[in-house]
Amino acid sequence: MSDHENAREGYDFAHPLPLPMLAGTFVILTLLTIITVAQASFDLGSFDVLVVMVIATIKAILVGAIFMHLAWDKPFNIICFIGSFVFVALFIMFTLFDSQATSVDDIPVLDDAVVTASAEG
Amino acid sequence: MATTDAGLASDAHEQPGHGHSDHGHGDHDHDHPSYLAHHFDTPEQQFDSGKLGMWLFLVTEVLFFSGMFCAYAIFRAWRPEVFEGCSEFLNTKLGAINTGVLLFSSFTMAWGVRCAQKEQHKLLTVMLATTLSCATVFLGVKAIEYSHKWHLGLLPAGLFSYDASNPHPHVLQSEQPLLSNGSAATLTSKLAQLDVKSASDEEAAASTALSISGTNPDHSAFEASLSVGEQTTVAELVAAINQASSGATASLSEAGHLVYVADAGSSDSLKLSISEAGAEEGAQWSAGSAFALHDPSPNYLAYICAPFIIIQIGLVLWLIGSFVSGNQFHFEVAKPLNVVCLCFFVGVGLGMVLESGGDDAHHGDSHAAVAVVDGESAAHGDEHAHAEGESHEEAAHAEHAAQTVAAAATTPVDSSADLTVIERLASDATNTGLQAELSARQAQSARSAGGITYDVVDDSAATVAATKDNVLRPSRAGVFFSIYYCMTGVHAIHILAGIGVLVWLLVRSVRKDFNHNYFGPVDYVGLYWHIVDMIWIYLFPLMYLIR
Repeated sequence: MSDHENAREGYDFAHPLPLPMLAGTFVILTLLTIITVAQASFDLGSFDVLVVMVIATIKAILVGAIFMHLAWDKPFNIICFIGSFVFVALFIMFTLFDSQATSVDDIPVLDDAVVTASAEG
Repeated sequence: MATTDAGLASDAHEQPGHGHSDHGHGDHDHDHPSYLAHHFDTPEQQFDSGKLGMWLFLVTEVLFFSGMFCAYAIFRAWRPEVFEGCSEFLNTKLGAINTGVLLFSSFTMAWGVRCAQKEQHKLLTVMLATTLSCATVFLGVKAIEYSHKWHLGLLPAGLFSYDASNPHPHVLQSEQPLLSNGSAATLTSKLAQLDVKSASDEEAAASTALSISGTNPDHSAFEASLSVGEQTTVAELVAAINQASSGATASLSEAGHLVYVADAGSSDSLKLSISEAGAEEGAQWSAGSAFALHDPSPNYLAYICAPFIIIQIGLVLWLIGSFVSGNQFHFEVAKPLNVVCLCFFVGVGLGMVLESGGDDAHHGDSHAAVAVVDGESAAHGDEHAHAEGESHEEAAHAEHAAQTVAAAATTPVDSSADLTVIERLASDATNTGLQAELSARQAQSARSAGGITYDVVDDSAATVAATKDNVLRPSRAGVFFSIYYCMTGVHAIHILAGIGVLVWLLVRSVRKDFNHNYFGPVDYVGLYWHIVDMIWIYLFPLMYLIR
């Protein structure tokens, strides 16, 4: 029987985040959303997707690090979570390579011109 | 995360009344707190185990969604123009509002975790209720988005039935005319004016047969067709002014074709006049026509709302019952849940306001955008024949619909008659536009002879200018909407699941179950909620903001 009256190990481990930090994160996320919507009205050409994805990733990192408490979490949890994104990237990249290399477009086209064309006879 | 009572002999290893358990770390079992499961030594160990499990679950969630993102990436890489075109049909305002709502709910969820850790029970209940309310607002807005699209026939591949020239197909079946006699008369007189005006115009390059399905109140359809006409200088728009129960315009439908000559300028003014006439009808078809009073098509929004109405009624009864019976706990739970359910209808209202407020602009935008795409292809000189073919095709579609649906009430318009007109007009050697159109249609019919064809990159230029053709072709646009419904639908299911666990948390929070050593459930649900938010953070720009 150990003495567990004072500062027992495994107790009082909570780490509440300061409210201003949470509120600040929310404000930044909202601002980033506004930026995302606003940038859509500019034509950034092929950088469009890139810009959008970069902003979304910044938002995701903010949500993950602060709201999900990852910045103070156990390294193993962080590795698990980041690892999943690595595998997602591999998955999507290789599938895209494959689909680009082997086929163009498999969508069967039920041509709606048929109606008109048959009328033309 | 069941809170096992330490005194409960639910396990062979746990001996009631004994200070020591069999697993060797039983040094503080005798004061095992009620929230600490018997197989954990300390609350921290319990929390960390749960958290690891939650993270592993979230990893599977990420991988699960990545399948759909992968499908998205493949189809977008194949057909970027289809995604650009179809994205126009998604209301950015609604998407942005939903993003904000979800972000706010994430914030309140994180705040809720903080409350649980600091044992602020009342505030925790408020935070959980706020999170839940945001979730239902999100679903309410989503209900508007979905029902609007189902009405337009913007459905997954196989069911996709959107027709740009007739975006409200069901309204045609309406027995009561949505376009009042007055505005139909206005339209008619405007048309007559234009007829006179442009008939005197010697520059008129094209003959335009314009007909209007009077029962279709959606002037955006006219705008669409006319925008095309404007861009192409030569347009063939065919339809019939038919109004099932209105004798006033019967003679017009008898006439069948109202042929008049228009150049780009006059079609512009026609657009304006139709907009004016349409404005009178504005009240009748707001909110994505989901609420069109005379609309006989299924009221999708009502079907979506029905379960929520039933739940709301149940909750109100529960609230009243618990108040009457004096059950304080039930009353405390029912109160926030009533607010939460009401927020669904707030979301529906918000969605309606945004959708109807943006409706004109939205439709105008989308159709204009399509028209611009058309215009671009037309700008390349020879290819303008295609756009023209398209517009004719659309008109023929509308006409076809009118034939099948309102055959009894109107004089059926025979498309072969229109073809005769085109052929006759095309026989004029100067009318190169119509000649090109004829050849385009011949090529198209040859290509479609096989019924199902596979699109090859080197399509003959005569048949299609790839852009428009690919964007609104049902099979392709259907694929976009398949992906759209799949991703947003699965996301919405996650929201529903989140609502389920949040309600569970709310009940436990009212029961004051959580304390600074036991806040795991709040934290885990929070993690889940944040990942749902995170997925939406990616979904929103990828779906709604394609330019």
